[in-house]
Amino acid sequence: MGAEISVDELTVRYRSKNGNFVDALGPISIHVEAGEKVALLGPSGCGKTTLLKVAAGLLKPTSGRVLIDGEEPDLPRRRGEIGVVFQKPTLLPWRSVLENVLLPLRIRGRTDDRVKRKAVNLLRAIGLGGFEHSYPNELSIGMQQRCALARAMIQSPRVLLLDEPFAALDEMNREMLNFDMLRLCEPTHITALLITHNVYEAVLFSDRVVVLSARPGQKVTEVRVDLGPARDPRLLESERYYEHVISVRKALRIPRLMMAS
Amino acid sequence: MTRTKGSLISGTLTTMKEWWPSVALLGLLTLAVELFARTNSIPRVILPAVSDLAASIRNTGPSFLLRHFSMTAFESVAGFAIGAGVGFGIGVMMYYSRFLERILYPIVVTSKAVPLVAMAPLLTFWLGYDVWAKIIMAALVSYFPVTVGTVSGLKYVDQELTDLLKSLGADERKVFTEVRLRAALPNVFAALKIASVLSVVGSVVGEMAGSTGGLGYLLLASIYYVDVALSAAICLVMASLGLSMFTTVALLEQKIINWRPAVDTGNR
Repeated sequence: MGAEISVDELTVRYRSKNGNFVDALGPISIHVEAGEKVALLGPSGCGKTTLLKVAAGLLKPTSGRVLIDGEEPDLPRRRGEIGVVFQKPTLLPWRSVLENVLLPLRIRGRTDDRVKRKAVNLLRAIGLGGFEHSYPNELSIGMQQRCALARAMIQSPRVLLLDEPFAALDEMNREMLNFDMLRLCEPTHITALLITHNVYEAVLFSDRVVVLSARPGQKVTEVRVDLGPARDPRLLESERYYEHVISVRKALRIPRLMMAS
Repeated sequence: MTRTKGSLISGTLTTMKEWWPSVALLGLLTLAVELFARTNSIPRVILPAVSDLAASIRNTGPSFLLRHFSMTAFESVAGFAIGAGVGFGIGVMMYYSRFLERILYPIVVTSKAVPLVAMAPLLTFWLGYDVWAKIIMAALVSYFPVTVGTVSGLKYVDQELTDLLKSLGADERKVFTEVRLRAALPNVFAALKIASVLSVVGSVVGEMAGSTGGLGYLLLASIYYVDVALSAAICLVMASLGLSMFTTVALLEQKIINWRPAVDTGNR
């Protein structure tokens, strides 16, 4: 089901307000297999979000390219094959939870009873059963982010791009949402790219953690996470999990050294 | 988490419950004026009692008054509708085109800088004594706040929401109807409420500048005959017109903007 993402010698350069060019990202190359879950871990301002925007087809790269199953991201995005969850829930306050989840389909003019049922099931699976007709302002941030996740999944995308989706949540909520999300993703074999600066989350979610340097973000190293596809809360109490956390933490020392030099 | 969705009646009822102190205060003041006026320490001709106002309305003839009331009401409502429509249209145009904004903004502000009272006789010269001059007056006063409200409402739309819609493949028309317009509505309605009351001011000033009917005309006549009770009664009738237009807009707002969480009245 998932698509492969290949990031190839990608660089992004912004023009800042005073007219100078700022290298935000790259050159960076990452290959994500179909169905693989990769976490991008790096200091703030290293261009993680920029990379995600290029992968979502929302930003043109300065050089290099991102291909999704060999296509420019714009095309699969228009077909609804890319689901994105941003840092903030970004829900329409004047639409109910259900209407927000159906928004991508409504924009493309494709709502019927079948997708409505699908949305209701999706909401139930993510823990929002019974809140279909609530409005976003009546929900907690965690619940709003669950709604945003359901919206990203409504078109059964092949690629899920997550830009620090749970950064605003407290630790407990965050953990719960991570497991709920894993449960939601698992049967779909979706390809997922998670941007985070939380080591625990990166290890918990991914099959591979890619460590980025400070701006302009470049790949420093990567750590494979061999924790298997099925992950449950007990994993957090296992030594295997913490071994991975420690090796990622060690890998994180490298960019700090690079910054010092 | 409960929501009284679109229940206008229960909404008004709770409002009535909340507003009884204001009604009580108004009642007390009325009573005070009535009692004070009845002492005749100031001649009744100059400070009439509230009962005198009622009597003056009865003597003038309610149907006669109603005819003039409906004329002013028509001018105000028509002027408000035109002003609101034009104001909103100009606001949207100014939002989308910087060029148009640069052309229109100074004109809009200048039109507002000319005192309303000064404009009234001019419009009467140009448009005559019938309703048109008054409708234009009402429209001229009500379009300005609506333009300002629309522009500022559209400007402060959450960019993340518009970006989201664009990323989902929405064109600008969809972005406008789904995000910009709705996000601007609270501001637009605030402006409409102001404009609804102002429109009555516009039509009345127009009538006072030259007319053959309407509450403003009647007011001038009653002042001419030094009928203070009737003048005051007419003022109250004008107020009731403005008030009912305001309430209509407010109820419409309540019905349309149903997504804001219930107003928190607990901690005050």
